[in-house]
Amino acid sequence: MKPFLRYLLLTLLLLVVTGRTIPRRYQIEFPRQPGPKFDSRVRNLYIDKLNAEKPDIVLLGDSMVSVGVDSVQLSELTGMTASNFDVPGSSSALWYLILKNNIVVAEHLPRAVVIVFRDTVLTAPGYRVHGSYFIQLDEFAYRKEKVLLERAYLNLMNPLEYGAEKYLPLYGARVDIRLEVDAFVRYALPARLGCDVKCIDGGFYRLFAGANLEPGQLQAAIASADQYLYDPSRLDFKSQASDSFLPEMIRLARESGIQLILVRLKSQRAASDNAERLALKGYIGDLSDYLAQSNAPFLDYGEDPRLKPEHYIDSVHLNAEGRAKFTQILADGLIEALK
Amino acid sequence: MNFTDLTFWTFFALTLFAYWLIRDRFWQNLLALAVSYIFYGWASPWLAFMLGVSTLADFLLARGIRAQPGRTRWFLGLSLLLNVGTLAFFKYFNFFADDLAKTLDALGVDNDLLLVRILLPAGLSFYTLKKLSYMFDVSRGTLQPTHTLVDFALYVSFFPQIAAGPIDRPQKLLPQLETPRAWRLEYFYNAWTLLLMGLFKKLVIADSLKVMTDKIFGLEHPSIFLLSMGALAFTAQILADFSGYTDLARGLAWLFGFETSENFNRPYLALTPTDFWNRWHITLSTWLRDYIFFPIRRALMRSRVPLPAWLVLAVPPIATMFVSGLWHGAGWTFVVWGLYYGILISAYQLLGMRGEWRPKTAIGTGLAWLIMFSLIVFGWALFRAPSLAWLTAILFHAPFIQTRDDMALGLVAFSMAAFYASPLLIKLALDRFPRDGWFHAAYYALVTALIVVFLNSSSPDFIYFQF
Repeated sequence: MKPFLRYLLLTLLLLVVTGRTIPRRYQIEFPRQPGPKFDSRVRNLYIDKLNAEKPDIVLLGDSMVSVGVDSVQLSELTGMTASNFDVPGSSSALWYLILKNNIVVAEHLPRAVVIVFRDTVLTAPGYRVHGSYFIQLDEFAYRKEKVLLERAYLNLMNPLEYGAEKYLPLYGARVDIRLEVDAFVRYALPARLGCDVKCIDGGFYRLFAGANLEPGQLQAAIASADQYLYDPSRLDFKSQASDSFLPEMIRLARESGIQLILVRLKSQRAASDNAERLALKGYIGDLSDYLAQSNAPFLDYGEDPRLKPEHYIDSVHLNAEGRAKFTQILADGLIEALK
Repeated sequence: MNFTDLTFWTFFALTLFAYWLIRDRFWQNLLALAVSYIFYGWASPWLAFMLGVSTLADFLLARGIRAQPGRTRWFLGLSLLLNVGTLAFFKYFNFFADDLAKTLDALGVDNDLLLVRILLPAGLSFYTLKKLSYMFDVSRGTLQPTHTLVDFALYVSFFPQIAAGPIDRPQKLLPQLETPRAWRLEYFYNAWTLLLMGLFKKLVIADSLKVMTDKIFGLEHPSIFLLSMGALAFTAQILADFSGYTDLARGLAWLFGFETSENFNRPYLALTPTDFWNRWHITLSTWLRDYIFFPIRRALMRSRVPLPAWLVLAVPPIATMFVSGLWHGAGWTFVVWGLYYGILISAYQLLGMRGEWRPKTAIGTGLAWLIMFSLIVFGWALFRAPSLAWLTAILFHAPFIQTRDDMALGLVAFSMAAFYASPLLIKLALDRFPRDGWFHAAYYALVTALIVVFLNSSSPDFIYFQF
């Protein structure tokens, strides 16, 4: 009994001490609004790009767009100027922010915004919003982003987590504390041997670049990261749609007179079982119905036989031949959709 | 469901409450069995169905041995075929199918069926060994088969153990399952430190190190220095991950009123390979020792043809560790890793350094430890390498340090390994003192604070789930 009571006493003491010191050290007031804090700075990158290039078509997406769509070829094939607004590693949360805080507020509005995605990304608001992805989001977010905060963070918290974020400084400031711990572990020892922060960060960037990765491991890492998208709950479109960024993106585009077009690009990922395959089929069917009701054209190339395994570098990224092939397919689809 | 999910803990708390509310042993076991099957079948009910069928088969086969002792070999053979066959099919189908498909493809034979991916059911390797030890012991007459299907099924599927052990023997768990039990505070006192340390090792140590080791072992051509540092970090990661899982499993079992086996006893302090395997994954080591090592050695010693002493000494460990390598995974890295330890054990034993061997001087002990620890780290490099070709290419062709980045990131990996291993070293030192003092309490309070800080919204699976 005694050891446990001693432990309880010391843990309580520790909570009291950290409850006093953490708010001061990290300048956070408790109780606090759960979820991450965004700064007020917003990048104008795509506003400037829109105003400078004045494209008819803007393509939003992650690295699938970077390596999968040739905007110059697309412009030639469609007869409309196209521009890629691709951010590798991005997801629906960032696409929503770019649409809301950059595209619809630009002087030049494109005729169409084309979002290229795979499978359930559009209705997975919590996908890629933590860690380094948060830094990416913060660049395009204002201090108060109610929809983003709710859908990407708060809705996904359980009551325990919500309460701890709000009232427990140790938990509420955990990201700041971890950053400090990580920085100490990462930089302290090499700094003593002459390698400073810049040297370490540069090393990470250069050494762990995609080109240096073992292909099999890269595939495994992609598959593991994407597993989140194929959880049974995320394959249920009806339960996910209303809490995702999709309705907001449709509304923003409609109110700005921009035609939103959704494009599903094929991935070479094999479903883990038949149940998953059927669930995904059902999901795409529901998504298709929803977009039809919302007057948002849906170009589904998720099962397109013209895109073959030899057109891919890995399970999601097209190679040069695949890029040319898909750009051609997309151009045909866009001409039809924008008639 | 994972032991670090809130869903699991909610599910567990409700179950525990109902479990102790029921006073009757049979109904307690039935509830624990139902919960175990829900836990196991959470991802796919098919897994629970397969577990149920194979459990029923072994229960009946063991009863058959008891009823017809003359046909013991026949019943045991059938069980071996069922258990080893299932394990081999799920574990090695993909391994052999790829090569076979290529050969058939070259011959122009249709090979579509071979391209189907077979997923290994989590925990299959663990519960298969549990069932096999039951069958072996019943067939040897050292264990009476249980009359209650519920007890046997719970022994096989007990949810804290099913995914990654410990691989408890029937003699350890079955008598406890057959005994009436009522809630005692002692269960909680035995459980809380295990649960705390389990969560800490997994969430704070293993998950933090995983980020770096995955990166290094994901590189196509790392330098030898970077690989060494990655292997060092992985050495700490795998211990924290696996012993963390075991701590959680043991803690959860205590809350159900069961004492389960320890799996780790300061393995990195070992001075010889035999000593290491007496301390690492103890329940697997003893299983392999009792059912593979001893029978082979007995057979060699009783051989009608006189065999040289070195052969009798070398073959059993090599064969046993080869099986251990195969058990860990379908891949040449695991096979070679097993053989590596088999050869090391044989070599040490041939030099007269067995499990209990200790040098006479402190310097000698330090040197023996350093050599053994280096061999362990190299072993983990073999184990974690994506392929054998990858590892040999680095060992024989890569420079020690390629660029300044190698040096810098190697130091980061070393720094991470040292930083995250330090709480385990502190615990090791603390455990020399009485465990009910203030120091231990302060340590656990700090551990709790760190768990809170390191809690993430999602965490990767335990490494040992894949075996």
